[in-house]
Amino acid sequence: MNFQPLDWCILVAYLSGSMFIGIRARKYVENMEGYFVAGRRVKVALGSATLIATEIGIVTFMYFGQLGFVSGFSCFLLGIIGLIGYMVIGKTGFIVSGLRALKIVTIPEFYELKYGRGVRLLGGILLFLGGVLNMGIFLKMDGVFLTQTMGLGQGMLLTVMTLMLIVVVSYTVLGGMFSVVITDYIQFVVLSVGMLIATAFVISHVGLTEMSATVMRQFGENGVNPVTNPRFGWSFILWMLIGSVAISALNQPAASKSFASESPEVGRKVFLYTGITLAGRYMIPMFWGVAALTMFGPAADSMMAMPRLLGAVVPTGMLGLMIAGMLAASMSTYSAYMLAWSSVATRDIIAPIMKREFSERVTILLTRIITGMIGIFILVFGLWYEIPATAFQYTAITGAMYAAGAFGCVAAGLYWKKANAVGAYASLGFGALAPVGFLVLDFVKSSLPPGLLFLVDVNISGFLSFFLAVGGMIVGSLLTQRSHPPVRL
Amino acid sequence: MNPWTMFWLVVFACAAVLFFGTALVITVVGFRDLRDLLSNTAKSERSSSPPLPPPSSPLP
Repeated sequence: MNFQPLDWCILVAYLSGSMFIGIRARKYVENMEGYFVAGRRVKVALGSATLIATEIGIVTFMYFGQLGFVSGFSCFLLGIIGLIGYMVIGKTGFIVSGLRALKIVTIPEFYELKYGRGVRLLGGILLFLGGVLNMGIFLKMDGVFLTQTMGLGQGMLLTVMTLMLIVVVSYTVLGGMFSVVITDYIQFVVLSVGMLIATAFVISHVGLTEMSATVMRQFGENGVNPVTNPRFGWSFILWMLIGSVAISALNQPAASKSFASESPEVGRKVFLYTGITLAGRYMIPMFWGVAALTMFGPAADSMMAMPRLLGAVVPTGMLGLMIAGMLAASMSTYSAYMLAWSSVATRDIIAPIMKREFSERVTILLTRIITGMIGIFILVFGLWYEIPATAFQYTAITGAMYAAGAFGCVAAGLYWKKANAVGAYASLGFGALAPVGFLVLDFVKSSLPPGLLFLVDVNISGFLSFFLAVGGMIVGSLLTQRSHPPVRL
Repeated sequence: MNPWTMFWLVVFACAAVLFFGTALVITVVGFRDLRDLLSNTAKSERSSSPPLPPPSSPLP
């Protein structure tokens, strides 16, 4: 076992401290705005810390690590694309400033303002389903990471997953966004230190020259050129270029951080500063993945190689600190995601179906119950589901399930005068079509005729989702301008 | 070393420096923001709590 008593002490001290602080943050939850958006008082640096902590979790380390392992340096392009996406939003305030100015809590609330209650309900359902499916693989990946780095063995996977879930659900349920913001800050600091330690030890154990030679030997030009790499290519690059802007601005957990900011201007700046770190956040775990390939060779399991590498190269004491950092990263991701999806379920699905406004007390209670239910779902789903593509592509395609339609609805709703309810329905429906088709058809891939095999190409499905969503909004709106005149905000 | 490989390693080095540099700045300034957030929230809680009843007059 890699994990020694000193490591355990560091980890237990960190977890206890984090839980204590999260639960203490309860006293700041004075009302619903406090619970969901921290009273909208968050400033730039704190907002950036919480957004970065939300966007990095063990799951991101795992899927980027796997991507580095299976594709070499060519996946580094994703870091550059992500950087461009965040910088566009951060410089222009595209979408995020407009939404923050409307003082909404969830994205489907915008649908109701602009398009009506039916669109809010449909948008809420898609957002919730896509979001929870997207989260479905988080817990298993985290469990694999922890068992591998700590050297606990696969037999402990379920125990690790369950323990982690209990810790995260407890403080999310009790504290709300205040607890998320406070613990996010602490987690941001700890995870940055953890990443620095891991990178330093990886570089000192696996030489850069050796890594370069391995990539060239293993992949040839495909290991350094994303256009020729069969896992990527132009359809993937185009999908990521559009998706990086859409998913960054409209991913409800990230958007919640922008909604919690002090003003629309602060919300925009949060994206700008977060964007500066983005390439590093993507490339550092990818780099660990390439190092794992160099150390263990291509026969190793692509998912387990990177955590195995970290467990092997980081020494006792430092390992405890690094795992605390990684757990920190994950806890902030879970809490933000669970809070975001449960608030969507309560406010945008249950309330419109029941045709009533719940009191603040009932809304918070329902949100807490749904958070617990999401926790149970991801535990079961994680154990049962086999991911159809790389883990990164799975999260991107489930993200596209809601982000594509949301992009069509929100971008057009904010910046195009002719956007109407019919266009919004078409955008949400068509946007979800290709990702849902991919996830369902993948089960019957072997019996599909050759002409339809493009539907189970994850890159084509992802790109199509945005194309169809935008097309649906434009055509749907233009054809029904008289019967459904657009609403002005 | 292949020029493409060299390119990606340089890009990686820049990205890592930007990440850790920004993280340092955010850590320092973020701590101040967090302190302000908590003290402002505590202040607003105190001001929104119901006022104390006026003391009864000692005069008849």
